[in-house]
Amino acid sequence: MRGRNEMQQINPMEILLVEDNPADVELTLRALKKHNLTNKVRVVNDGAQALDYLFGTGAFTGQKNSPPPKIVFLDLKLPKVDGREVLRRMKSDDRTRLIPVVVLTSSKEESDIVETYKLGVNSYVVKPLDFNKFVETVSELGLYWVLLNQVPF
Amino acid sequence: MPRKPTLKTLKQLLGENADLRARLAEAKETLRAIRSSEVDALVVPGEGGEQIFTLKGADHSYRILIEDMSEGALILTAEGVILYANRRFAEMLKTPLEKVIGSAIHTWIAPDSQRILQSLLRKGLDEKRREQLILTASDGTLVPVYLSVSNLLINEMPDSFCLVATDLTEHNEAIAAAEKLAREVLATTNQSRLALLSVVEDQKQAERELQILSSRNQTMLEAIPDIIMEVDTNKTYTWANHAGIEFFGADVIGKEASHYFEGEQQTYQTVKPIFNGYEDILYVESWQRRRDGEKRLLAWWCRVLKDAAGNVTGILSSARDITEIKLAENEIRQLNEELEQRVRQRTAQLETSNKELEAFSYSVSHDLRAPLRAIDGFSRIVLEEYAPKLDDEGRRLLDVIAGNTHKMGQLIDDLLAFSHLSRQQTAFAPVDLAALAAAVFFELKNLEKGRRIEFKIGALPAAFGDCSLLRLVLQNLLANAIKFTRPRTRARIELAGQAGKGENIYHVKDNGVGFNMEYAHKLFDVFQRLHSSKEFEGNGVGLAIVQRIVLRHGGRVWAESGKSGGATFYFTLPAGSGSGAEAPPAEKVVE
Repeated sequence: MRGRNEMQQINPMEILLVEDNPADVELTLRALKKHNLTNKVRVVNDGAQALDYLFGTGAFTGQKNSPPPKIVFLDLKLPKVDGREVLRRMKSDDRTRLIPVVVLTSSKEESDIVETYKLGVNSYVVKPLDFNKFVETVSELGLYWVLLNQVPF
Repeated sequence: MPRKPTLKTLKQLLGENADLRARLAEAKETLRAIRSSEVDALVVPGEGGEQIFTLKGADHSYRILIEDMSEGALILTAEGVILYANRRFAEMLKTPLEKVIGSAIHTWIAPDSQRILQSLLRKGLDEKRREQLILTASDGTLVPVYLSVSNLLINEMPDSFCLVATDLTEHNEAIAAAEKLAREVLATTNQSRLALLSVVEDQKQAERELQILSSRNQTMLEAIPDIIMEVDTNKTYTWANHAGIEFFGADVIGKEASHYFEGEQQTYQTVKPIFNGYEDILYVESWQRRRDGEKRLLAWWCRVLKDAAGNVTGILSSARDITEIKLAENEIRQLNEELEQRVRQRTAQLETSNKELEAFSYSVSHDLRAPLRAIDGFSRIVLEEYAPKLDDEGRRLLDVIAGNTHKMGQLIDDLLAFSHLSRQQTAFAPVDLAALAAAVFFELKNLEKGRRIEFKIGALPAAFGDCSLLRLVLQNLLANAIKFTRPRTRARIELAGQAGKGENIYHVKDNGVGFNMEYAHKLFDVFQRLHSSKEFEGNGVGLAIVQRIVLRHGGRVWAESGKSGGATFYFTLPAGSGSGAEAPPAEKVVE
């Protein structure tokens, strides 16, 4: 067991960001910079890649990382495999079930919120339109889930 | 010439006295003997020597007869002294015989009968007479008797009578009983006769009533437009009412029912059970040819007729011409089917349309926002990171970009909310408007820092509606009120309501800038604004949302504005269940 106080250099990939929109990717990374979390971020651009990364399949075969990321920021509207499906797969596999997932999306639709909660999402955050607010939100998310929240692995 | 009486001596007198006493005693004894029938004859010394007197009626057998007969017998002197009486007579008088003999007859006669007796005795001198009279027994009992008198011719006793008394007591009693019976019989007979008369009278009455009923029924049957027919057990028509004759023709009487079921073998099969006595009541529809040749659909109600013993005597049927009705029914059914078909099509169309709308909204939700965020984001980044390289104009331009993206974001949100309304399911329940308003105001006020806003909630009639939708209404109205009171140093907003006829009227009043009443009719249209965006931001969707929601609840909206400012927005909600209870007024003063 590693001590929690240590900087975890061995596995810098503590955040998995699943986002297809490059503008949003850039803005998100800028926001995470505030708390010096950018070097711990792994970005994938669609759902399939996300699953490959998490299960060590496809393009990431042989690169199974352990321990898993501390947090997954998941957008819902993704090409190939959409956010909901990724969530479902994660929560139904013992290898990934315990990984916290935060859905970070533009949609305020109640149906989306309900459905993702039913699937076991840990948190649902709507991306603010306003840039300043967006930066604030994302950096706080990063701070909380990476630095404050305890994980079981 | 009689000898001159000589004075007798005391001795002589005493001796004569003793002698007389002896002779008296002897006479008494003789009398007693005669009375008790011990002697039949007397030897009485007389002037010519001894004489033998035979007592008349001294014959023993006659004596027994008289003594033992069931009638009373007596011999009377002319003066009415009873010389002789038999035992029976003494019994009648309930008196010992010794007392009777020698008594006067009239003492035994009842007062009312005295005269009868007298006349009897008088007449009895000449002839045999018989009269009914009443004796009085020694205890006072009245004894009715038949007294028969005949003159006894006894040389020694002229004008003496022989009487025979027949006790009529039992006789009378028997007669009385007979009379009573006769009366009873007569009474019974009378009663029977009366009863019979009454029965006959009732019968006549019943017949009269029957006649009236019968003729009324007859008239009714004739007047009924339905066909009424009767068949006997041979399935032959024996009777038809006027409508029946009209339909089948007068020659239907005597025809067999099957004759009229041409081509309707199916129906005939259905009807068979009742003809065969298996069913009591039957309903069947069948096509039958009317006498003008046209085929008509008749609805038959058949009922079996039974006699007192339960045997089927025939069938009574009533039929109604339902040809037109059936045709109409068919038409209606067809129309209904067509209608349902159309409804199904429309519903499918609507469902498709709804789904498309949903997809559209969803798309808007996601896809429009993302680029907007990018525009805003990157322009801000430029502003932040290239600030030193920008002049004021450059900075201002970037601000314009930011401002517009903000607006667009707001517009998207409003549009989504608006379209969402029509898809939303409503859940109606009692709503605490006061609490809702307080909560909404609290949220809104937090966005307006540094302002004095006074919000007063007055008495509100209990509301019934969808809570989340009504929240939107209050949100929009209060947001407007807050927005348009911005120029005032002290904003005053009020929410109050009152019960009306079948509806409750609420209003939000503010002391803001108000609006031009000339354009009041445009207030609630979508995207219509009565102020420029320079003065007040907004995209004109808020009131449209309010109107849509209130209409959904079955209420209505309108607004008023004062010349010098201030605006009041009214909305009504139908008075639902639990109306009448009013919330207590609450005041909220917010700095």
